[in-house]
Amino acid sequence: MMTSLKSNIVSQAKAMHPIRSLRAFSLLVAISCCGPLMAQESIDESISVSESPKVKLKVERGQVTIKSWDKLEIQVKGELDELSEGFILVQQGNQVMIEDQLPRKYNGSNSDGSDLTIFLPRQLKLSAEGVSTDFEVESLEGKISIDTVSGQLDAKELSGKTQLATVSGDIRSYQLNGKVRLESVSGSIHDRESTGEVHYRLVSGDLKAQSAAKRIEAELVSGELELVLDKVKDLDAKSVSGDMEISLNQLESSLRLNTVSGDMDVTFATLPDAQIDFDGGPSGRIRNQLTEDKPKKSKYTSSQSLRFAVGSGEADIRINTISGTVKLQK
Amino acid sequence: MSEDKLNDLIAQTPKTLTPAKDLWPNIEARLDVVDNAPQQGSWPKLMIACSMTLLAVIGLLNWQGLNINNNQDSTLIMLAQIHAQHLQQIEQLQQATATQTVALRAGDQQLKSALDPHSPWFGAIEELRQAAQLLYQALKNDPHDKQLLQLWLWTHSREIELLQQSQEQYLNGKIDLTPKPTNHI
Repeated sequence: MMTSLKSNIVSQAKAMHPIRSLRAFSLLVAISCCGPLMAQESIDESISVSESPKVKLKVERGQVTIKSWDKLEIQVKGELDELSEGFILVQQGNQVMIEDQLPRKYNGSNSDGSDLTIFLPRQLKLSAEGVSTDFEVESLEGKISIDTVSGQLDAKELSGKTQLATVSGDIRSYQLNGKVRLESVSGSIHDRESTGEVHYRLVSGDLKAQSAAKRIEAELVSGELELVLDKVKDLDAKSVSGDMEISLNQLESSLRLNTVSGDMDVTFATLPDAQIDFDGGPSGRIRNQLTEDKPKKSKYTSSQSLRFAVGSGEADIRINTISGTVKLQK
Repeated sequence: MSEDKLNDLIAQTPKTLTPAKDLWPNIEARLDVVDNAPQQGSWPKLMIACSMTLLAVIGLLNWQGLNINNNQDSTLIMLAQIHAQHLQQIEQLQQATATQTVALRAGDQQLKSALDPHSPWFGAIEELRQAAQLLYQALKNDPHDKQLLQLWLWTHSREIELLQQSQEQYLNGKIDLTPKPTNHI
C-alpha cells in the first residue's frame, strides 16, 4: 500500500509544474519519514474449506495465534506486518495457503511483524513456518508441524502427529497426545502431561517434562534434563555433558541412559522388576541405593561396572557413562 | 523338449538384442537435464552416506554373536575406518558449504560463517566433537561395548545434522546473529 502511494506521487510529480512537483516531493519525503509510524494494515478474511484441509502457513515475524472451531471455514484476522507486500489466503482443492508476504530482505524488529489470530477446522494437516515468529496453537487434531527460528512455541491439546521445532526459541507444551516431537537447539523445552510417544531433541537448552507418555526418547548435548514420569514402557535418554534427573513410577520394558560426562540421578517410586546393567567407562561411577549390590572395579583401570537383577528381572535397564556419576534410588 | 530342438532354438536366437526404436537420443536428453539441474549440494548424498554407515554398523551390532567382532583387531580397524569416514564427510560438507556461500552470496557483508561463535550451533558442534573423541578413546579400550558404539555413532550423526541445519539457515538468510538471552526454566 505504501509502495503504490509513493509511486503515484512520484509519477504525478514528474508531470507537474516545478513548484507543485516540489510540494509533491516534500509530501513524498514526509510520507517516507512517517512511513514506519503509520499503522499496520488490518485484515479480517475467511474462506470455506473442505474437511481435513491441508493448510500451509507462512508468517516470517510477529505473533500468530491459532485456534480451532467446528466450522469448515478458515478465518484470519489481525494486523499484517508493517512491511507486508500482500496477504495471501488462497485455496486449491483441499490445499490452503496463508501467507503474509514480506520483501526478501528487510530490517526491523519482531514488534513490527504480523499479529494474527487464525481460526482453523479442528481436524487438519497444518504446516506453519516462521523466522522470528511466536506461535501459539491449541486444540487441533491431525498432522501438525510448526517451525520457527527465533520464535517461541506454545502448544496445548494437540493430538495426532505433532512436530514443533525452533532454533533459539523455547517450547512450552501442555497435554499433547499421540506421536510428538519437540526440538530446540538453544532454547528450552517445558512439556507437561503429554501422552503417547514423545521425542525430545535439544542441544544446549534444558528439558523439563512431566509426562505420562509410554515411550520417551530424549537427546541432549549440554542441556540439563529433568523428567517426572508415570508408567513408562520404554525410555531412552542420551546426553553428552548435561545432567539427568529422572523419576518414574513404573518401568514396563526398557530404560537406556547414556552420557559422556553428565551425571544421572534415577529415582523409582517402587523397586523396579528389572535386570540392571551399568558400565562406567574410564571414570564413571555408580551409587546403587536400590539393593546391596556393589560395583566391581576393573583390574587394570579405574572403571566400574555393575550387573544385578531385582525381582524376576522383567524389564531391562542399561546405563552407560564415560565419566559421569550414576545414582539409583527409590 | 529334445536336445536337438533346444540347440536349434538357441542357434535361431539373435546374438544381440536391438530395441524396436533407437532409445539413445532420449537417454542423452535426460542425461543433459540431470547435468544442467541446479546443484543441490552434496548434503543429501552425505546424509545418505552417513545413514548407510550408521545402518551398516547397527546391522553389524545386531548380527548374532557379532561374528566379525570376535577379532579385536578387525573391530579396531572398523572403528578407525568409521572415524576416518566421518572426518571426510565433515570436510566435504564444510567445503561444499564454503563453495555455495561464495557462489550465492558474493559481496553480502551480512553473511557470516555458519560456524560463527555467536551461532546457536557453534558450541554444540564443538562439544559433540570433543565427546566423539572421548567415546572413540573409550571404544579403543572396549570395542565390543554396543551402547558405547551407538553413543559414538549418535554424536557423529548429530554433528552432521547440526552442521547441515546451520548451513541451511545461513544460506536462506534466516539467522539473526544477535546473541539472545536464554530463558531457563
